[in-house]
Amino acid sequence: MINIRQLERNLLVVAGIIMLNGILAVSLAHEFIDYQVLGAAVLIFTGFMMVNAVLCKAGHVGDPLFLPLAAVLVGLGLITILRIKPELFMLQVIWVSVGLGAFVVSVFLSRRLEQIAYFKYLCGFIGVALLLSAIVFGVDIGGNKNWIIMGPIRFQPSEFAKIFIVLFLAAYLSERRELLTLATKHYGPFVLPHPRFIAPLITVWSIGMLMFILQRDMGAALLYFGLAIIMTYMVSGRFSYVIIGMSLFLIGSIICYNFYSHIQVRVDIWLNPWSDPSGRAYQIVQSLFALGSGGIIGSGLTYGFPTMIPEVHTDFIFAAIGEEMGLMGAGAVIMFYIIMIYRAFRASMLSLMPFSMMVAAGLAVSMALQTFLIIGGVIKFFPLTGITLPFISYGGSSIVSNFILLGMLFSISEVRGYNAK
Amino acid sequence: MRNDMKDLTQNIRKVAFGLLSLLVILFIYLSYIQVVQSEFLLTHPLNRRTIEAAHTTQYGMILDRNDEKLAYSKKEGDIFKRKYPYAAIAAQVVGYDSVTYGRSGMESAFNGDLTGNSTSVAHLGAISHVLGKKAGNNVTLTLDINVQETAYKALGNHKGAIVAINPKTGAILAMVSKPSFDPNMIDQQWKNISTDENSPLLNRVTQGLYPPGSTIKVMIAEAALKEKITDLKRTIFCEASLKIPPDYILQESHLEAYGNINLEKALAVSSNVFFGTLSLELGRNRMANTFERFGFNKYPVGQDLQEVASHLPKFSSLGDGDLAQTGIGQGSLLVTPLRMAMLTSSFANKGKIMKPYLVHKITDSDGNLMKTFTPEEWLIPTSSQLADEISKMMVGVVQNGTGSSASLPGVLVAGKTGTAENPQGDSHAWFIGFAPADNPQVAIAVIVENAGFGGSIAAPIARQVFRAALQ
Amino acid sequence: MPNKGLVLNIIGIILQYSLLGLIYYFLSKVIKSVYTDLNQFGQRSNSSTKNGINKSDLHKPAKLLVVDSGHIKLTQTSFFLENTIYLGRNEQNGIIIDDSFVSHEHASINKDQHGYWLTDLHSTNKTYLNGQPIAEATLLKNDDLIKIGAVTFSFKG
Repeated sequence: MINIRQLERNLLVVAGIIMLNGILAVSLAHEFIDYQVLGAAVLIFTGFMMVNAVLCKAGHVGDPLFLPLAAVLVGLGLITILRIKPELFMLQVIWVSVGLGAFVVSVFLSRRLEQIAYFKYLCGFIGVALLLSAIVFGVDIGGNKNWIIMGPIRFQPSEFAKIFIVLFLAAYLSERRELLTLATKHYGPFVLPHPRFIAPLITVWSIGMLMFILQRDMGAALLYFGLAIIMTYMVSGRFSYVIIGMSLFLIGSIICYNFYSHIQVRVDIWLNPWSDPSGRAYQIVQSLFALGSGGIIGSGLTYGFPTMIPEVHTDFIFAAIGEEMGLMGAGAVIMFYIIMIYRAFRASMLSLMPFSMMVAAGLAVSMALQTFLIIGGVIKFFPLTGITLPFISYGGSSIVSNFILLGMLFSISEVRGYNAK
Repeated sequence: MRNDMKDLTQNIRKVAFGLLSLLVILFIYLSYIQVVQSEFLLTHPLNRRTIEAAHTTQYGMILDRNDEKLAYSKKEGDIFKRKYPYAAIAAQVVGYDSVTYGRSGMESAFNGDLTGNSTSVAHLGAISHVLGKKAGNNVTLTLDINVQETAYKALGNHKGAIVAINPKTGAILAMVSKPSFDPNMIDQQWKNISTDENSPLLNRVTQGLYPPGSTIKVMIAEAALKEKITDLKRTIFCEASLKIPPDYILQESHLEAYGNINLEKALAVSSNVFFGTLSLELGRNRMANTFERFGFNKYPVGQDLQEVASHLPKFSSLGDGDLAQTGIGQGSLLVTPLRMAMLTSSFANKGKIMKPYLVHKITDSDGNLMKTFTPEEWLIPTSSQLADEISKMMVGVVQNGTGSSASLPGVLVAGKTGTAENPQGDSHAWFIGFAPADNPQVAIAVIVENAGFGGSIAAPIARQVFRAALQ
Repeated sequence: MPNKGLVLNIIGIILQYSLLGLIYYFLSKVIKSVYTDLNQFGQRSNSSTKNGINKSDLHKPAKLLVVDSGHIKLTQTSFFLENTIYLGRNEQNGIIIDDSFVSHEHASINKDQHGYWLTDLHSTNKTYLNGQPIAEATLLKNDDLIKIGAVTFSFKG
C-alpha cells in the first residue's frame, strides 16, 4: 500500500498535466502561446504540490482524493476560462492561489473544529448577517443581486455564509439531537419538535424565503432551505420534517409564483423553452444548443461557439465544457463531483464526534445541492438558478469559499485516517 | 451514545445515497441531451453554429465554365465573407450566403462541398476542424458568364427570364431572372429584397409559371404529325376565328383570315385556328399523352434545380373550347421557362432531351478533380425524323414568319414566338428556339413579362443571346 | 515554413484528444483508489463486528489517533503503538501530554498475545475508557475512546 500523501502527489501530477495539456491545446488552436499564461499554470501546479508537501510534512492523514479532485476541477475551469474569457484567466489564477492558502489555513484551524461548536451562535450570527447584508446592500451584477461592493473588493456573501450556517446548524442540532428525536409535540396527525428546537431552522427558512422574494435568488434560497431541512432530518431521522419543510417551501413557492412575474418566467421557460427561444428563454436555449452541438466528443477546444451563451464564464461554464469537450468532458466533471461528494459523506460517516459528522455531512449536502442546482439548471433538468459551479466557475468568492470548505472536509477526514489499521 | 451515533450514521448514509442518486440522474439526463437530442439541437434553425462555423473556414469558389469567379471568400477580420463579382447578374443561380438569413441557390445546394466539411468527420471532435480547415472545394458551373451577362443586359428593365441550354448535353449556359438583387448586400437590403412584390429572390427560370402561348404549337405540330392527323401537305381553311360548340370562339390574334394553309405556314404565322383545329382532332387523350411524352408531368429533373412543377389542365374533364385553348398555350396551362427550353432542345437534339445541369465539376483547392458530372439522357419524346421536320418548320418561322427578329447573318436560326395572354396585364412575350439549326449549339427560352408581342420583344433578345452563345 | 504550421496543428489536435484521455486516466485512478478503499472499509467493519482482533491484525502495529487535543499541543496527530508505550507529562514518555491535569506518568499501553492493554498508572485525574474511568488493565477494542486530561484518543487496532 502506497503512502496516502504519495497517492495524493501522483494524482496531483496527473491533474497538473491535464491543466497544462488543456492550456497548450487552447494556445495552439489560437496559434499564440502566452508564456505568462503558461507560467501562471505552472504556478498553480506548484501551489498544489506545495500544499501536498506541507500536508505531508505536518503528518496529515486526511483523504488524499480531495485535493486532486479540486485540482482537476480547477484545471478544467482555468482551461475553459482561458478559452472563453482570457482576460479573466489571470484573476482566476490569483483566486485559486488565494484559495490554496485558505485551504491550508482551513485545514490547520479545523483541527480544533470541536471548539468552534462553542461559538455556534457567533457562527449563526455571522452567517445570517452575511446573508442579510446581501439582501440589504446587495448590488446587481450580471442578473444576480447578491454582490457586496466594498471599495475595490466585491464578493458574494452567500458563498461564505453557507459555511457559517453549516457550522451553526451542525453545532445546534448535534447538541440537541436527543431533544429532537424525543421531545416532540403532537398536533393532530403531525409530530412536531419542540418550538425552541426548530426556531433557528425557521430563521434559516425565513432568510431563504427573503432571498427568494427580494433578491430573485432562487438558487441560494433553495440551497439554504435544503440545507436546513436535510440537516434536521439527519439528526432526527424523521422523514416527516422533510415533508413538512418541503410543504412549507412549496407553499412559499406557489405564493411567489403567483405574485412575482420573474418566478413565473423562470418556471415557464423551464417547462417550455421553445415557446420563446429568442426572448426570455434565450439563455437556456443557447445552453442546450451548446450541449447538443457538442455531442459525445465535443467540438474540440476553441472550435465551438460557447460565447453565444450570455454569462457563460460563471453560471453557464458547464455548457461551455459540454460543447467543447462533449459528454466525455462534461460527464467526467459530474463524476468528479460525485466522487468528491461521496468522499465528503464518507469523511462524515467515519468521523467520531457527532458535531464533526454533522459539519462534514452539511458541507457535503451544500456541495451536492449547489452542483445539482446549477448543472440541473444549465441542462434544463431544473428551473435555472443563478449559482456558481464549485471550483470551476469564475469568481473569487466561489473559489475561496469552496477551498475553505474543502479544507474543513479534509481535516474532518483525518480523524479516522485513510489507511488507519 | 454508541447507538445514537449509529442512527446518525444511518441517516447520513440515506441522505448521501439520495443526493448522489440525484447527481447520477443528472448525468443520465446530460447523456440524453448530448446524445439523443444532439442532432435536433445541432440542426435547429435557431442554432447559428453551423453558419458561424462555416465562416471560419475559407469556402471554395463558384466558377463559370471558363473559370471566371462568380463567388469567392474574402477574409474580413476573423471571418470570411462571400463576394460576388457579378453581383445581380447570376444572383438567383449562384445564390447568397448570410449568417443571419441563411443561403440560397448553389451556395445552399453545394454548401457541403464549398465548405469542404463532409458530415462523416463532423462528429470526431477537433480533428474534423483540421480536415475541414483548408479551403473548401471549388464548384465549376456550366454557366458561361458572358452569355449570362448578355442575356441579363438584353432583358433591360423588363421582368422576365432567359435560359440557354446546350441541347446536346443539357449543360445550362445562361439562366437569367429579373428583377434580381445584389447578393453582396443581402444583409443590408434583406428587408427590401425579401418583401419586394416582384420577388427578386425567385428564380423565374425554374420557379416562374407562365402560360406558354403559341410556343407550345411546336409540340402540337409534332403530335399531329406523329399521330398522323396531318401531314406536311394537308391544308386547312382558316378563317379569322373558329367557332367551337357550344359557345366558344377561338380568334386569330390580329383577326387575319389565312385561307388554305399547311402546317409549315400555320406555324410561321402562328395560326390559332389551325392549331385549335389540330388540338380538337387530337382529342383529350392524345393531347394528355403528348404533354406526358415531353415530360411535363415528370418532376424534378436534374441536380438541385429546385424546379416547380408545371400546371397541366385536367384533360379528361376538359371542354372542347379549353382543349383548343391548351393547344395554343392558353387556358389553365402553366409552364416554366426551363421546360420550354427543354422542349425546344428535343427538336435540336434529334428527338432526345438531355438532363439539364448546372454543375460541371468539383475540384479541391489545389485543383484536383473531386467529382465531375457527365451529360445524361433524360427522355426520348420523339423520333429523329420528326424532330428534323419540326426544326425545319421552326427555321421557317425565323426566316419568313413571326420570329424574323431572331435571325442572325450566316447562322440558321430555328424558333417560335409566343404572345401569352395572362390575367396580370399585357401579354407575356415568348421566344423559344435554337441555333445553328444544322448543328445546334444552344437552345433557349426567353420570356418577357407583360411586354407585348413575342416577335417584336422576345425574338430580338433571343438574337443577342444566340450571338453571344455562338461566339 | 508551412511545415512548422502543420506540425503545430497536428500537435494541437493530439493535445485535444490527449486531454480527454488524461481526464479518464485520472478518473480511473481515482475510482481505483475509491474501490480499494471501499473493500478495506467493508473488511474493517466486518472485523470490528467480531468484537475482537484478527490474528493477522496483530502483525500490524496498532495506532492511537488524536480525536480531540483540547488546547494541548501534541507532537503528532497519530501514534503507532510499540510493545509498551507510556503516556504522561514527562519528557520520557512515548506520548507526551503537556497538560497540568495529566500526571507525569499517567497511563501505559502494552501488548501481549491477546492484544493491547490500557493501564492507569494511579493517576490523579484518572484514565477514561469510553467515558468510564478504568480501575484495572483493560483490553482495548477497535475504536475505543481513551481520554487523558483534555486529550481524547481513538484506538485503532
